[in-house]
Amino acid sequence: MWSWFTERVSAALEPLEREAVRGDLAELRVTGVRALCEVSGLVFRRQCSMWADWRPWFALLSIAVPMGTLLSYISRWWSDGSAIYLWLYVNNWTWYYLKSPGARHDLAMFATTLLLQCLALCVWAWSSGYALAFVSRRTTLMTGLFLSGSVAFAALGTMPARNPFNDAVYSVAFYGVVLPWLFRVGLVLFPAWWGMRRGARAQPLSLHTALLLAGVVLLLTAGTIAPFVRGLAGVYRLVPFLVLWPIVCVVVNAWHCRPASHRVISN
Amino acid sequence: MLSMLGEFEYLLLSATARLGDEAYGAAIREEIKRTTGRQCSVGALYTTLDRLERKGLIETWMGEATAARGGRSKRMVKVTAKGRREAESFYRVVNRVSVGVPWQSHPHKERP
Repeated sequence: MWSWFTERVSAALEPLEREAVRGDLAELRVTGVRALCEVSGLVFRRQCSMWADWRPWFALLSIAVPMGTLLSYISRWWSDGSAIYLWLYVNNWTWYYLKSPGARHDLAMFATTLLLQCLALCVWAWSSGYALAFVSRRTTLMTGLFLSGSVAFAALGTMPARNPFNDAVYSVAFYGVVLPWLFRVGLVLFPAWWGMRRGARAQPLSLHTALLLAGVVLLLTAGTIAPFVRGLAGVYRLVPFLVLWPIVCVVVNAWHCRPASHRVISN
Repeated sequence: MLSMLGEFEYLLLSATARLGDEAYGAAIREEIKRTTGRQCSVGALYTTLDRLERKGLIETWMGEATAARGGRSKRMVKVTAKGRREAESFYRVVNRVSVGVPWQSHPHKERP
């Protein structure tokens, strides 16, 4: 078990250094908790030295914490909103929902909205993770932890869409506790970590792919964020649009890293 | 002129110079432990090696892999000419400032 942890922690080191350090520890027969402490100590020192640069701070303060907090609130808001309809359609199912044209329309609208919201959360989280990784690849472990912490805990204890009339729904553990966590982990954290893995690769997204992704993000944002914005007042209405910031970073990165031949043509 | 070396940097340079062609991470760590009686962490060792390399006092490269290391390569280390000069300078300064101090002529004896 300790060697598995040591292996995971040492993944934060550069490949050649990881090779040398793991080899040294094997040669000196340092194993178990001590090996984990030794590697963790080196990783900690490396991470600290990297924070002397501006990039990790930029990634942390402009992406990890604000995006994590925002996605935490949006996912909480939407999971609470979806819980009411899920409770209605799952716990109180009747064939009337399909027979009545009005009820059928409501069901279709709910299914479409839920699907769009799930997709929107996934692409926002993926683009956040991707942007984090390419802005400061070597500190992705730390900034990723900050992003995950913000997602997990920023909206914990808040009840943005709940009111006493819906107590019957939220008193069910699945809707009150499990569903918000499913949204956070499945639709935000998982795509964000996937984005980080993709962003850490040497080969960036092509400009075409980045623009296509930006188009998808724009459409999903336009289709899903309006009800969320209506619940806010004044300048706070602009806050949800911060979800577009990472995709802007992704496009700018793809533009910078486009092949030289494209640059000549565009010039 | 005062040397720009730190104490641990000097220890590392000395161990590396003494080991010669056999100087690499694990060997340097064992050499420091043998000569000073102090344990040297992997973190301190590798971050100091990097610092010395940036200062141009050592050169490092990836060496051979052995079965004892689980088939992993060594990070070999060699003191450069500049590194040797800096270590000599540090040694001279320590010698000079130590003249006439009580612990030079009457070294402290550890109590049993």
